[in-house]
Amino acid sequence: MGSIEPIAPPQVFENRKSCYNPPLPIMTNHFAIGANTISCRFGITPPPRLARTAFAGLLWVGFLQASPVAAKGAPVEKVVAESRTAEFETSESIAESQGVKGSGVEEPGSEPLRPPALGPVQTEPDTISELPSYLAFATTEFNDVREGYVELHWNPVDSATEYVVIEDDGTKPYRGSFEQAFVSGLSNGTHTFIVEAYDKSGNLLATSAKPAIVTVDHWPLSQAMIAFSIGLIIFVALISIIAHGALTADKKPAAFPGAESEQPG
Amino acid sequence: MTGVTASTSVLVASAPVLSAQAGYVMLALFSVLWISLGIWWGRRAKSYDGFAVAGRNVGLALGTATAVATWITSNTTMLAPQFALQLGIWGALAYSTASFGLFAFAPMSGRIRRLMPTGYTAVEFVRRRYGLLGTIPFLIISIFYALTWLVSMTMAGGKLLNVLSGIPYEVGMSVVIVVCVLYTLFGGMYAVIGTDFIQSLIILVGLIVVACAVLVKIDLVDVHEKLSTNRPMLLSVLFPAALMSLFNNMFFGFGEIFHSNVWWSRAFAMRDGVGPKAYALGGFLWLPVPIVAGFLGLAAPALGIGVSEPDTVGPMVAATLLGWGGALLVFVVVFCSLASSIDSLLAATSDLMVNDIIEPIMQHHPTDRTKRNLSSFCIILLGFFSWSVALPNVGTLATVLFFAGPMVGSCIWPIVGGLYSRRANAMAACLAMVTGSVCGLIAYFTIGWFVSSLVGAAVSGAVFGVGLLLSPADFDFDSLSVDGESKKTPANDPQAAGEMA
Repeated sequence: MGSIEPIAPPQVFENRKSCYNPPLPIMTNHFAIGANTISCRFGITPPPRLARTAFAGLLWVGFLQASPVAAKGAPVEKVVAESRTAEFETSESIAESQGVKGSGVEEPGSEPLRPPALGPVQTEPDTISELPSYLAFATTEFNDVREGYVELHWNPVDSATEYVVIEDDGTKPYRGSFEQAFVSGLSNGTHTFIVEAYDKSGNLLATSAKPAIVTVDHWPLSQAMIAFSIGLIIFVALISIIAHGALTADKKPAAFPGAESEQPG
Repeated sequence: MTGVTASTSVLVASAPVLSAQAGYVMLALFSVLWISLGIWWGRRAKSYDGFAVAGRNVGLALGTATAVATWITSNTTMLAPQFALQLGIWGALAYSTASFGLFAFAPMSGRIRRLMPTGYTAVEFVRRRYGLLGTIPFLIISIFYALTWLVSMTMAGGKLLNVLSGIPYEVGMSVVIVVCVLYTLFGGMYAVIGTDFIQSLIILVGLIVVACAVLVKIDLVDVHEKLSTNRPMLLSVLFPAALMSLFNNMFFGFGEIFHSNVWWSRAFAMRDGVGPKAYALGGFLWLPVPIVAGFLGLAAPALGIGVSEPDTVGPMVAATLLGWGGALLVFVVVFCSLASSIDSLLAATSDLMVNDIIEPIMQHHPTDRTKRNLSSFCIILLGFFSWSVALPNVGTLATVLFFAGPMVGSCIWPIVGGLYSRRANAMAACLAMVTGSVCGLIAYFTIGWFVSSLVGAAVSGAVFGVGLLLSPADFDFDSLSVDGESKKTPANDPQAAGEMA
């Protein structure tokens, strides 16, 4: 039901390599068994060739993904908090905000781990050499946030591969490669966020010049309870009418309040 | 239970996205499968009754499966986690309340089948029940909702395939809509319901595997502790916006099911007595899906998984925790859920166009073959329309679909009243739909999306109730089936009756 929110414009995304492997010659009849089960139950007969092709395709996909090159993209859990070259210190970070270049050296041929990158994929890589070295939120003040969630956006930074959003209490609600973060579950009060950019070696490149200040003021609980109560009343009324109608509509009259008879006269 | 424990708050994962080659192989595989099955089943659809309502002889297993598959759209796997991420536990529960729509529609489907044994569409019911006055707003709402849902699902197909495998948006979107158009074109409701059965099995098995794998990977106590510490609002039972959203989402679901021809056409297609059981069973099978999917969204903040786009949080968590296997499962589930909804929309909306727009304009009963050809033409037209609107990738259509919330919410009372009360009258129904939609949209812009359907349903109900009291009608329910008596029925059409058996 409903719909999904639109996904943002394409982001920089690393095109991963993958090796080509021919279809496996080995085929089993597992898929055919499943297909036959369905066909027996419902009187249909899918072509056996289709079943074999489908199973071969699945094997192929599995082999492609399990190949050594594709495996480089497999998820890796990595504790990085302790290994950061720069710890978050609000005053210092803001002072350093105009581009703190890292000095990480990339080893030739190495394939560094990437942060979460589920998002729109762009097949042609961006030219990021013209990107700025400073970092700033697109919006720094969010007043009267009533639902407790907010989207933070910032500019891309030259050579940055990872951004980390840090709340004033030290928690890190976002770490990833995109220039936006969705933060939810904020309680009433003021929440301050900064964002830091890191290169692929984990060196701090830049910190947001100005923090994003989010002032959360949830809807009054009384208003929420009124809406909840109205909804509950409508729900009970609807279900009662439908249940009553289902039980009596074809047997006796007055399936609906005020109704006298389903069959006039 | 093993899992990520102390380190979860600083967990970083690489991109476990499928390679484009794997995505293309999967896409080709399922495209061939659906089209082949569509052609296979299409050979049985000889009459228009067979093409539009599958011979009115669909049994319990297929009926239940088609209800589940159609109701599990891509949004169930995408929007339910988003709801949980935005509104916490209440958000996941709020999304799952959409299953109440199936429960509520279960007895209604039986009555619909009895009142209109030869009916085809929801608009047909409204036209016979309320006349032109009630039909105009209802038809506008139905068409608006069907087209925006169709376009947004087409767009979702392109975007999700792009997200999961890197397949360009234009390619993924085009393949999804072309495949759905082709097999619906060949097989009509036969193909829709048949593929729905297979798709529902794949979706449910895929979601169960993902859920079990995720539960093995993470520590629920740890997730709860971290949420309690860092994001207590997500666990709060007194989260104001979440409280308001609970019944709003429920009425959005009620409105969608009660008014949409996707559900009415299935009620007409099911064998007499099957509808209530199939819809109730479908509701029970669907109920846990958004709760499981919602848990993925709730787990993201606790696992320290950075979220850029809230609607991608579900696949992101699954793929991050489960690697390429998780991404592959999500890909398959998403593709199946997209196809199962788009094909249903194509079939149901083409019925609506043929029976409620073209046929009244023609002012005579077209032959069976003419209706079948018109229906095929409408499916192609709808597919082309969706493709052409979705191609520019304008991201605001999804928002437009949310406008439909108050509109469909305002249809609840006119439908329920029209089915169960002879006193319901055309003016009350018309005013209820118009005022409910207007007030709901005002609430949408002044308060938020999480109250718009609730306001629409409340205002519509109040107006409808007042209208019913002030000017009661005296409707004869037998008249609903009068027009259909001259039509061919399964009883005197053995071919149609035996097609789906």
